[in-house]
Amino acid sequence: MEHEEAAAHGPLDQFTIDRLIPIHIGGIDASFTNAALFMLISVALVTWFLMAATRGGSLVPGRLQSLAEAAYGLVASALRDNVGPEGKKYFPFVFSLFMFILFANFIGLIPVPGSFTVTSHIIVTFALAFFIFVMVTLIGLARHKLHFFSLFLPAGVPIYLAPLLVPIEIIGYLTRPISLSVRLAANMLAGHTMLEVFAGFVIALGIFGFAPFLFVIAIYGLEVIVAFLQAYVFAVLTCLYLSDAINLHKH
Amino acid sequence: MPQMDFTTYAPQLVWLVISFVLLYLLMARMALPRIERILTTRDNRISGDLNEAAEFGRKAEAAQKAFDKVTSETRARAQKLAAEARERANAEQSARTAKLDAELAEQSKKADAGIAAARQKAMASLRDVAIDVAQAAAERVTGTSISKDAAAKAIDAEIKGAKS
Repeated sequence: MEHEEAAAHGPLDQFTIDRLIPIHIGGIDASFTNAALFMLISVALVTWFLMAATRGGSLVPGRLQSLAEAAYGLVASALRDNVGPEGKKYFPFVFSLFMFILFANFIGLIPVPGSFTVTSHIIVTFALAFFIFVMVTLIGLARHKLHFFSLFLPAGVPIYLAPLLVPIEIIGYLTRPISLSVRLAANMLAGHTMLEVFAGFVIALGIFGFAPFLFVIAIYGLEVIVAFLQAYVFAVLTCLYLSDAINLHKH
Repeated sequence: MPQMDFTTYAPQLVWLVISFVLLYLLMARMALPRIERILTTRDNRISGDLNEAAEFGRKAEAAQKAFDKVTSETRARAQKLAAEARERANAEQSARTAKLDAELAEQSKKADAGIAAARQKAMASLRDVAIDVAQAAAERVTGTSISKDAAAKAIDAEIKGAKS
């Protein structure tokens, strides 16, 4: 079936998972897939970029070092503004999250055969979002014990509105991992699919292909922005959830 | 749609955990401490430089103050010295003037005394002359000579009358 899809060359083929090295450990399919390869590429590139950029560690930063410091500053200020000084503990996590998603998004945009976008798979983004959800809930419970549930009844709300508001707040809280993961995966999926569809038109229209070609260039620029923005939004929302767990609405 | 192929979930999750944990460790242990060190070094350097500049500013201000103090002290001392010198000159001047005045007064007193003595002497000789004249005049007018004593008595009486 995979081969049939590949032969058809649909715009969704770019998301196909290929088992490059089949691995099975205790009945679990741990095969090394192209997704795994691109995850490791992202990790390697993030690390290489940061280490290479900071090798000199010069007082007056060069181009690469400025970029690395800007990434650091972006996440640090998002965490500081949303969570406050308590958030410093979670900085390595949020920074890793941001850089992982950012590089996965960017790498997926490099138009080479076999290119793959890790973050276009809902299971990957959902796993990240669900982990954040569980982590944030545990942090909140550990810090505030039962008082944590006051999160579901915002302060200053008349008590007779509680039967209405509390369920809404609880549903809103529980759907956080879904909205967080779907936002990222859907953006990646839609952008890449659209690029592929219009790139297909370029060939199909022959001489008139320049029109969709120009469109593809424009969309590509947009997708670069979206790739950055979605990584940033993911990181900022993680900060906001952390803030809720740590500060319980009051800040 | 490949995203909905549940059989790919397990390998993706396994490798996501592996790569993300790896990335987290690399960030937390290597990359972030390095960036942090760079930023702290820079912040320290900047604040150190600012402090140093402030220190230099303070020193310059203190030096200026000391300079001003020395200048004003010197000026005050110079004024004091000048005033003293002026006072001393004035005192000397007035002393000399006083001495000169005294000398002059002495001299004029001496001169007055001389004049008084001369006048007395002249007056005394005037009496003798008057007596002689009176004796001669009486002889010429009356043809009789009067004694010198009588003439002297008459003259003295006249002088006495003129004086009173």
